[in-house]
Amino acid sequence: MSHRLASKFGYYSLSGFAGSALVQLAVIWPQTWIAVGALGVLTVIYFVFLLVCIKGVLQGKRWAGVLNFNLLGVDAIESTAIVLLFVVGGLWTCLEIL
Amino acid sequence: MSGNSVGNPLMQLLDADLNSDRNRAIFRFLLAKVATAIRYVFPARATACYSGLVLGFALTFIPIAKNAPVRITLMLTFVGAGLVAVSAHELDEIQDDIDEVKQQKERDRQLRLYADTEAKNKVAETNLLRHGYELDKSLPRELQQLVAPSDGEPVRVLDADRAAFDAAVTAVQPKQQTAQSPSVEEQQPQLSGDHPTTKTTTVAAAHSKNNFTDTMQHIAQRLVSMTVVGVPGAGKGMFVSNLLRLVRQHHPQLHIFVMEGKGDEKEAGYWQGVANDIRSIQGLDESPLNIVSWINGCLEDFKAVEGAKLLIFDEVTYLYKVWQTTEKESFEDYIQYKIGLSSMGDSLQNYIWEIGQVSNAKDLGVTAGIRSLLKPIAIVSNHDRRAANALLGTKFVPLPEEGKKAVMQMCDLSECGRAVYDYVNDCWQSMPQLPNLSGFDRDTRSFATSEPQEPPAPEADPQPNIRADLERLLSVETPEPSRAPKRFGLTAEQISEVQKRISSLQPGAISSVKNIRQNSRLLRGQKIMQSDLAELFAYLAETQAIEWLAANDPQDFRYLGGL
Repeated sequence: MSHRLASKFGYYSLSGFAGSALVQLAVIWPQTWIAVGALGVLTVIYFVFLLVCIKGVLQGKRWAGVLNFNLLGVDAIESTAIVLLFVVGGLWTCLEIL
Repeated sequence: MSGNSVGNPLMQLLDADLNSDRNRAIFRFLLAKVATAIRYVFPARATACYSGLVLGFALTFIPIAKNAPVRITLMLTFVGAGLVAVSAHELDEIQDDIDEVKQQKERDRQLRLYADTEAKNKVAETNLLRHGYELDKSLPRELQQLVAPSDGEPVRVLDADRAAFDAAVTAVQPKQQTAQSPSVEEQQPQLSGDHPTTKTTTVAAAHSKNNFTDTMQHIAQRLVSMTVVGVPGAGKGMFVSNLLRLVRQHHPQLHIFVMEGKGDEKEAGYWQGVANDIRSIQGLDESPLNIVSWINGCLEDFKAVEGAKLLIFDEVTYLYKVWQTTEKESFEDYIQYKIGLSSMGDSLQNYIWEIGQVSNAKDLGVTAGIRSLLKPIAIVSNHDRRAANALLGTKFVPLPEEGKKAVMQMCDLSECGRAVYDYVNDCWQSMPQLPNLSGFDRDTRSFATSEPQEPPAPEADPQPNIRADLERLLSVETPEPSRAPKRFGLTAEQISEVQKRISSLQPGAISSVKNIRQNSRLLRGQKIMQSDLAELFAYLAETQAIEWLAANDPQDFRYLGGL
């Protein structure tokens, strides 16, 4: 337990803030929904590739080990956490505002 | 919005009760508790960061939850995100600092371990080179001294001295049989009777000598500026001269500069062969102006010496008094220089040893505080108990718990009748017999003819040697040599006084027993019997040291030399 953990949580939560801010911006400026949709598609692709990769690793496929989800200079687990926080922030804001 | 918040207990709480006084109080209480807990766990800087983090989240989520206008919500979201980002960055920095401190501590610990290991290796190497083996450091100090090879020597030397002394007395006795009086016959059982006491004294003296030899070695090895005080004739010069020989062994490059204000040729041997520069002045014969001029000149020369140097300033009691009275300014300059030496001299390897008779700060021209800058060494002897008591009455050195009597008892137990206080052990101890390097024994007022440590060989000198005989008699290891009756019915002090009187005569000079007796306050004060004195002079005449001018009236004599 150190300050590093709280620091990382703070950094990653910015992703959630970004998702929330994007939704709020889309409410004010509807054209932004396109960007929200695009990011949503990219997120789905990310999770699909992540699932494929996990399945490949579990099945012992050689190509699965080559895949590396390196997002924002962090490893796959942290990258996934960032994406998840982005999605949660955006979705929660949508539910609250809309 | 309201439908979503109904099922959420947190939202319910925020919606329903956030503005109530009760819940505000609960929030304040909880926040205070959290802040206290955070402050307890983390330092103040971290507390601020965590507060910023919490505030950032609050700014972001509460407007959304409270269904605030979107523009305001968006603006507050950006502000909250910025606050969280800054706080997170700062927390990262704090953790970096903490890690850096931890690493530094670890590096320091490693360095200390390395230095300790290096030091231990150095000590082990030194012991290996010096003793041929490494002493077991787990042994007590006493046992370490016992197993140390150098410590076995003094006991053997003392035994050898005792045997040589007995042999010398035995060798002299047959030649005196015709002239021996009944008092001499009575003396023999007493001498033999002294053996058990002497043995005990010898063992104690050997132990004391070991301790004090170690102390001298320590002082010589780890030089400091110090003040050596002692009653007149206590052996300050002898102590310092012996110490200087050890210093020379440990510090061959040290420049030893001697300033002595007595100008006594008999004590020149103290410094010869060990000092690089010997400056001497007969302080009693010179005018105060000349003395001060001499001191200033010497000090200038000493200051000009480069590198490691040691100033021996002898007879400071007299010289300081003259100096203060004559030229106070330069004396004050010197005191400042001395303070500088005592505080900064160690790093520059510049030292000063003052040798004097009194330890009173006022007499030394300084305050007690400045006097304490120099490490103290004090020597007292039982030959002058009054002066010893006066010195022990000062605050220069601490007394043992038992008081002055304990110090005088140490003197009585010492083979040379002296006790010494040193700053290393911070205690008094009996002083062992040190080699007299001056060639003149002030206890017996006689010149030494051979090396002090070498016992005289009786068969090597067929002629009776009066001086040696008397000296041996005077150096008998008894608790109180000055009070024990000796040969010719005279005490050691009486004999030495007579010998001093005779040795002051020029060979061929005519004098009289009466004249010698009257000129000596000691002899007159101690009421020496004329018959005892006559017996001593008869012995001197027999050994051709003096010649009676009138055989039937042995009053006047001619000194033939040879003492």
